[in-house]
Amino acid sequence: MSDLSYDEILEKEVREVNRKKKMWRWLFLSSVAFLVSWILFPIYLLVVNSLSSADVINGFPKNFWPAFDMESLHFFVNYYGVLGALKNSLIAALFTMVIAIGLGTPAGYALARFDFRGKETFRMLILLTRAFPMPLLALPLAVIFINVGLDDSLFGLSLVHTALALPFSVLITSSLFLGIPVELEEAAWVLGCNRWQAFMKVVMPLALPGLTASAVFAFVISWNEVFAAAVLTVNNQTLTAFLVQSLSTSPVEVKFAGGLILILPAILFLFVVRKYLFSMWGIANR
Amino acid sequence: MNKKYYPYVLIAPSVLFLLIFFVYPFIEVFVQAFTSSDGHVGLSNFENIFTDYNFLPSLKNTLLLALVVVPVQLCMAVGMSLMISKMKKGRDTVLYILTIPLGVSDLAAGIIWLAILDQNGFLNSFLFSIGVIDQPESWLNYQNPIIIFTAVVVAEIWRATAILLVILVSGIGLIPKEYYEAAEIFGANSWVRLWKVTLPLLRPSLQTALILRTLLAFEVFAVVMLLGGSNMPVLMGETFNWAFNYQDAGAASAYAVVILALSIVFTLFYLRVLRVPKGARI
Amino acid sequence: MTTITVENIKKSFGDADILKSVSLDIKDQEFTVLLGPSGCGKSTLLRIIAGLETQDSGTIKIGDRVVSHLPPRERNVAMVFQNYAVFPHMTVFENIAFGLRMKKAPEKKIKENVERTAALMHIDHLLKRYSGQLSGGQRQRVAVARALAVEPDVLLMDEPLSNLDALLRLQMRAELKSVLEASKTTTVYVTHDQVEAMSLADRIAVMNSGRIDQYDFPDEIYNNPATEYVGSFIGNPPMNFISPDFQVGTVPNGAFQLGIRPEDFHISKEQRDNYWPITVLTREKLGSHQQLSAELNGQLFRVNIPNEIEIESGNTLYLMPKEDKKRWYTEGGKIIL
Repeated sequence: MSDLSYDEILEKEVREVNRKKKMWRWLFLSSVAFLVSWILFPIYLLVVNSLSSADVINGFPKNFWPAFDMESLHFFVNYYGVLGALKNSLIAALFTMVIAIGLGTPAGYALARFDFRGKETFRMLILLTRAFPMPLLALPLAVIFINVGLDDSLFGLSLVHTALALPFSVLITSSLFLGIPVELEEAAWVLGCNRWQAFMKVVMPLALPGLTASAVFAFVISWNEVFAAAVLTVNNQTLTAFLVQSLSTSPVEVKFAGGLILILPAILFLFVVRKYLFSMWGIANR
Repeated sequence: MNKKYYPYVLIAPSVLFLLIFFVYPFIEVFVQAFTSSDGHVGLSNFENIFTDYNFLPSLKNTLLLALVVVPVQLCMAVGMSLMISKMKKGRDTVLYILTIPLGVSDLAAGIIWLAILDQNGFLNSFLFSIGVIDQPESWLNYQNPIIIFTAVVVAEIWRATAILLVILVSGIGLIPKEYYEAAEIFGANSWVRLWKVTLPLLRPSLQTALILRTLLAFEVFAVVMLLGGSNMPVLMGETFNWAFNYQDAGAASAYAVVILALSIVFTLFYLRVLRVPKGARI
Repeated sequence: MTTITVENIKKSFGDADILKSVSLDIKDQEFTVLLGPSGCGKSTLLRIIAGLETQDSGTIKIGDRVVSHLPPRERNVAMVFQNYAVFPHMTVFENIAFGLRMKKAPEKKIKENVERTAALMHIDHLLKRYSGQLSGGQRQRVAVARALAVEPDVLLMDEPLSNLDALLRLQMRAELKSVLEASKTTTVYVTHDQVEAMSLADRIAVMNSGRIDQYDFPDEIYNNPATEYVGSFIGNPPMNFISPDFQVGTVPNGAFQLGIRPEDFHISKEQRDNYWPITVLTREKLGSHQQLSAELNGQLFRVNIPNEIEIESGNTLYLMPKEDKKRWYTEGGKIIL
């Protein structure tokens, strides 16, 4: 029996532990790398397609490098109806953003700062909206909008999108206001502010970054919405409605360029609000 | 003005808005669904859609899709959120990248995967270059329903896991690390800690995540339209067809009622199965 | 002349009666401390004086002016909050200037007042900083300076020292005392810390579940607790309450209990006439003296004894309450004078 000294045993153990650690580390890093490329690679391929000419897109086999050919994007921009649709998407999203924040902020403030009868009922109403496929509500609204002259209007569409975005903006703003100590407001009242002045001088500056984030969130909800947009707009199509309604007729390069245009602002905006994403969902959670 | 009325004044616009654009259309969906084209109350719209040859396949596809996609996404999201909770350097960057699909609509996701799975797409190009195939295969045609289904599953997993991830990451953030330390001191290895500490304490987040994600799965529409076209009918797509292509609001509303019913059933199911006893929350 | 008159203030939240008809007369330039455990209503009373809460009934007067219907901004009060409430998005200078700006004071006066109060609170070197760059103690100073800068009729302080650590609290307490004495502002100060109350107050109002049990000078509160509650809240350890059935000496009419402070006993190691034989349960050495927990006929009480007396738990010691320190209480807990 070959006797190992204590030091040798110890050294062996340490080596074993280190080896295991290294293995786990490697496994961990490679799964991170895998997941990151799982998300990024398909987007990259869309970019490649959008930056290639129609011949390349329809050709085979494909090159995995972008040709930096602006033909497709040019064609897309000049394709009949695209520019209008892009503008419409933008307008609808801006409307939605303004209405959702305009209506949601006071309600969020009320939830954060007051105890009142019916508070729980109101909160339930807000949460209930999330338990239903909201885009479906575009169906009856389409009929109603015809009667009130809002059919095929971006304003009508943004009202439906606001119904989607409002619950979020109420919950997010209320959590923002909850995060601002009420004593700051009280200090302002004692020092001579009325409620409105205290809100503007103390609460608003502190809530502004979060409010921006929730506005961006409302914008993205509207920008990305397909079903209601497709049902409610005919001549004033948004970009999503345009792409869905012309799926069978539009050339592939229009689809791919359209897809890229669709996701670009969303990615950018998410980057702007990334800090708030989690606090938003952390709260929207309860 | 009396201070008592402040909150009511503040919530009034939202309440009014939700009454007009949520409660009222919600009731209206039912009214339209149960009103036949001649104006009588009845089930004729439902008879119409139930006898439509696309109804059963669309119901089957929608349910099957949810049944396959949601559990896979849940497991992935749990794994990803645990992974992220272990990260220090680069955590924010990785998190941002993994949540990018949050901003991608199902339409855009469909387009992305079309670029890959199309006959002239990147998958075929890749398979061709390594010699597996010698000419472009048309994967997404009606002869390959299983491949179409798989393609939709992949696209959905790619697109909609992020929402679960965000909810779970913020849920994990709420669990104080003392619980893990306590469990570790008392001899729990990381596997036991996952099952006995993390997952039970994460139950409220899991519940929200599952409800939200399942409802979104019932709303799946544009991805399927792009990848499957008419070869893979789903409920939301049929609703769109009846509303937009056949201009039949009654039948579309009947479809909407079916989707709403499914949503309610599953919401109640999750609420029941994953309910958290009062006082057992963090 | 800034007196504060609180008349029959009532306040309830839902079913809970937080204030049950409270009245209080605070003199000009007086430093009044509202003292009581959490939930006794002291903070609510302060907030009603400030105008942050609305009373259900009753009136508040500041000077000769009834203010109970006015919002906080029209009462000319200033307040220091427990968590300081220093505005994080403004510099220290802007924080201190805030109240004066709201009053549209001329720029020259703002500058003067800010610099004067900042110097008073020793934060004149921090005027350009933001609250995030300050320590807790510094924030506390900003909050006090901000309150003093508006030259209020009344200064209200809600547990201003409770978020500071022990050493800093002692230091700030001494400083506050001298600053507030110099400012001659009528002050109402809320705390649950009896030592703070004793050391700062001109008069203390001891509150007990929505009522003021006693409003008096600190010495009076300590020596002649008006109720059993006050006796058992003030003093560490609190007053002993002993039923008189084994008492020796005259028991006044209607007396239900004897109140006696732990330090007010004659002590002997040998049996003497009229001394009670007590069994020592535990002994704690506190440096300046020793504290005993003891028992007699099933009644527990605390005794402070000098360090020289050697005693072990289980031993017997003989005690007699000092005659002039005996206080008698009715069954309802009221002192018999």
